Amino acid sequence: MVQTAVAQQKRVAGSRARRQEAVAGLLWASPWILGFVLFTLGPVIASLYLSFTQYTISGVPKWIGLANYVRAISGADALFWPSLWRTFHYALIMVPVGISLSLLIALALNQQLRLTPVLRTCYFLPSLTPVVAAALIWTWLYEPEFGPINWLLWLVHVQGPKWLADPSTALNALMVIGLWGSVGGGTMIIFLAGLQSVPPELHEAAQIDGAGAWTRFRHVTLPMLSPTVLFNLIIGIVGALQVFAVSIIATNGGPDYATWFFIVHLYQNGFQDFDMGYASALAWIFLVIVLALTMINLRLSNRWVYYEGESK
Amino acid sequence: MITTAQAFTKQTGIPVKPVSYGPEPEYESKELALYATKQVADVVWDSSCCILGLGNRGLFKDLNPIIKANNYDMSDYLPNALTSLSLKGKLYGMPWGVHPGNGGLVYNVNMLNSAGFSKVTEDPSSVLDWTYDTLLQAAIKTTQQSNGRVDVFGYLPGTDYLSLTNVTGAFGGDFLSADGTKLTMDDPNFLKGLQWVYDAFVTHKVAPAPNAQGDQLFDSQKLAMELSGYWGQFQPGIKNNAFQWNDSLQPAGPNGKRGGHLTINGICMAASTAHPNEAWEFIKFLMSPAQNVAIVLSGGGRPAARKSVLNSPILMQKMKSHKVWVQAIEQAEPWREPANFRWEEFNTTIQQSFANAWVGKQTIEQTLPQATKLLQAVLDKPVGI
Repeated sequence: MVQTAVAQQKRVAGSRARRQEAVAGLLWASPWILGFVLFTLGPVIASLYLSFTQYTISGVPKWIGLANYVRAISGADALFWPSLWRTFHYALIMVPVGISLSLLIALALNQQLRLTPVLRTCYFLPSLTPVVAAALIWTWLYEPEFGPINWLLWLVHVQGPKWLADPSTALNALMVIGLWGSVGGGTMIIFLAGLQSVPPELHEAAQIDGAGAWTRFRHVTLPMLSPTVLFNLIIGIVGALQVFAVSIIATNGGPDYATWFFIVHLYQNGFQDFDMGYASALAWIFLVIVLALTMINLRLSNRWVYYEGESK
Repeated sequence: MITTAQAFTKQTGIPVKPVSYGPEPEYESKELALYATKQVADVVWDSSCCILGLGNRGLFKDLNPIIKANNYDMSDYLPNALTSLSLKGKLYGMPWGVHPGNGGLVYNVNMLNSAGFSKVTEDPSSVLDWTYDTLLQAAIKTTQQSNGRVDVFGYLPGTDYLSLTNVTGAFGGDFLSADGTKLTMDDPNFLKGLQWVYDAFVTHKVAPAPNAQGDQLFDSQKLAMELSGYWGQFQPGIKNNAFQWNDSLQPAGPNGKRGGHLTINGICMAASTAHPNEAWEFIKFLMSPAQNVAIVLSGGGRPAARKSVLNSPILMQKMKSHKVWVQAIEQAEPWREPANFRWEEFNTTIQQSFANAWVGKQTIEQTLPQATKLLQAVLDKPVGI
C-alpha cells in the first residue's frame, strides 16, 4: 500500500515536471508561434475568406460565394488558362533540363580534380546574383541592336532575334536566364552532397564485377541518388511554377503576354488591379495545383526512389 | 519635399512629417493599405491614374467646400486641369504638376542638321511646324546602317496608352469615348495613328525594339529622336554638352491639332484626416507659385496648372524648353480614362495586345480583334480601385 502511494506520488511529480517542461517549451517558442499565427496562418485563413468575396482594399469585402472560382475556371477571365498552361510549359522544360544540368555539373565536380574547388565556386556564383540584378544584366545582353549576344551572332553573319521584345522568343529567353541562375546553385550542391554519400564500396563491388562507368552510374549512383532526385524534383517543380520576379523585371509579363505566368497574373489582379478577392481565389487554386502535383509525385516515387537498407 | 515641409513649418508653425510610399505602381497599393488601416497621411500625392478612382471610393476629400469656405481664388487655374480631377462635381485634388500626355520630342540637333534638316536648332520652336510626315522623314534620314547593322536609329515611339494616344489623338482618334464607357478603336483616324507607329517600327525600321532604353540610346547618340514629355528637359546622361539637343513637342496631326490628354500629379486631402485645416494650409503652400517653380527647377516635377506658374519668367528663362510646353498644356484636353477607373489595367492590356504589331509579327488590323476583346473585358469589369 505504501509502495503504491509512493509510486503514485512519483508519477504525479513526473507528469507535473513534464507539464512544466511543456509550458516552458511553449513559452520559449511563443514568439515564433505568435508570429506564425499573426503573419502566416492569419493571412492564409483571411485569404481563404477573401477568395469568396469581391474586395478591393478600399471597400468592405462583399460575399459572392464561388463566383471568383467560377470566373477563373469557366474562362470568363481570358488570361487564366493561358497563364496556367504557360507556367506548366515553363516548368516542363525548366525542371528536367535544370535537374539534368545540375546533376551533370555535380558529377563533374565530384571528380577529385585539382581545379574542383575553383570550378565549384564559379558554378555557384550565378545563383548568388539577385534575380533583379540578373534580369537587368540579361536585358542588356539580349538588347537586339546593341547587345553583345546579337553582336556575336552578327559576327558569324546571323541576324539575331529581338529576344525579349519578340513574343516568339521571349519565353525561351527567360528560360535561359532562369537556368543560368539555378543550375549551378542549390540543386547542384544537394546533388554533390548526395553523390558524396554514395558508399564507395558499392562502386568497388560493381567494378570488380566488371561494370563500366555508365553501368555503375545507371545501377549504383542513380538508385542511391534517387531520394535526392525526388527532393530536387519537388522543390524544382514548386520553384518553377512560382516563376515571377524574372518576368516582372525583364519583360513585365510581355510582350503579348508571352511571359505572363500564373503568379504574374495573380500579382496583376491583386496589386495592380486591386481585385484582392479574385487574386485570393487564384492563390488558392494555385495551392491546390501545387499540392496535387506534389502528392502525385510522392505517390509515384514509390516506383523509382530507393532508400538505403530498403528491399524492393 | 523635406525642404518644402521645413519651409512651411517655419512660415506657419504647423509641423509636417513627410513620408514616402515608394515609387509607382506599388505606390497606390501602399496608399490603399494605409487607407484601409487608417494610417494614410493627411495630404497625399497621387497621379491622374488613380485620383478619380480613389476619390470615388471615398479616400479623398472633396476640396470644393473647403475652397469655397476659404474664399480661395481659383481663377488662376486651368479649367481642363480642374475638370481632370473632378468627378460628379467633386474636386479630388489640386493640379500640382501637369503635362499634355507623353507629348514631348527629344531631338539631337547635330544629327538632324547632318541629315539635311538645317533649320533645326536648340530652340524648341524650330521643330514646332513639323508634321508626322516630317518626323517620319527625319527618322528615316537619321537612321544609319553599316555592314547590315544599325548604328543609329532615327526615332523611338512609345507603346503605352499615354504615348499612343498622343499620336492617335493628333490624327483625331482615341481608344476610348470621352466618358470612358466605349471603345472607339474602329475609328479610321485612330487606326491611322496606330499605323504611323507601325510604319516607324516595321515598314521603315527607324526604331529600335519597343522595350529599348530610349534615354540611354539618345544620350549615347545611338538614337536621334525619342518620344518624351516635359521631363525630357532633364537628360542627366548627356555629359559635358556632348552634342546639341532639346525637348520640344510631338508634331501636330493633319488638322493642325496635337494629341494627348492632360496627365496630372495631384495633391489630395485624405478623407480620414483629423487636421483638415492644417492639411489645407499645406496644400495651399504646395500650390503657391513660388514653391511650385522651385520644385520644377529642382528637377522634381512638372509645372502646376496655374497661369502664374506656366507663365513664370523664371521657368521661361531657366527651363530648356518650357516656353513651348505652355500652349500645349493650355490646349490639352482633360484626362480620359475608363469609366470604371481601371486605367492601370487598360494601359497594361494595350501594351501587351499590340506587341506583335511593333515587331512585325502582325499588322495593326490583325492585332485589333484580340486587343478589342481584351480591352472590352476591362471596360466590362465592375468599378475598380
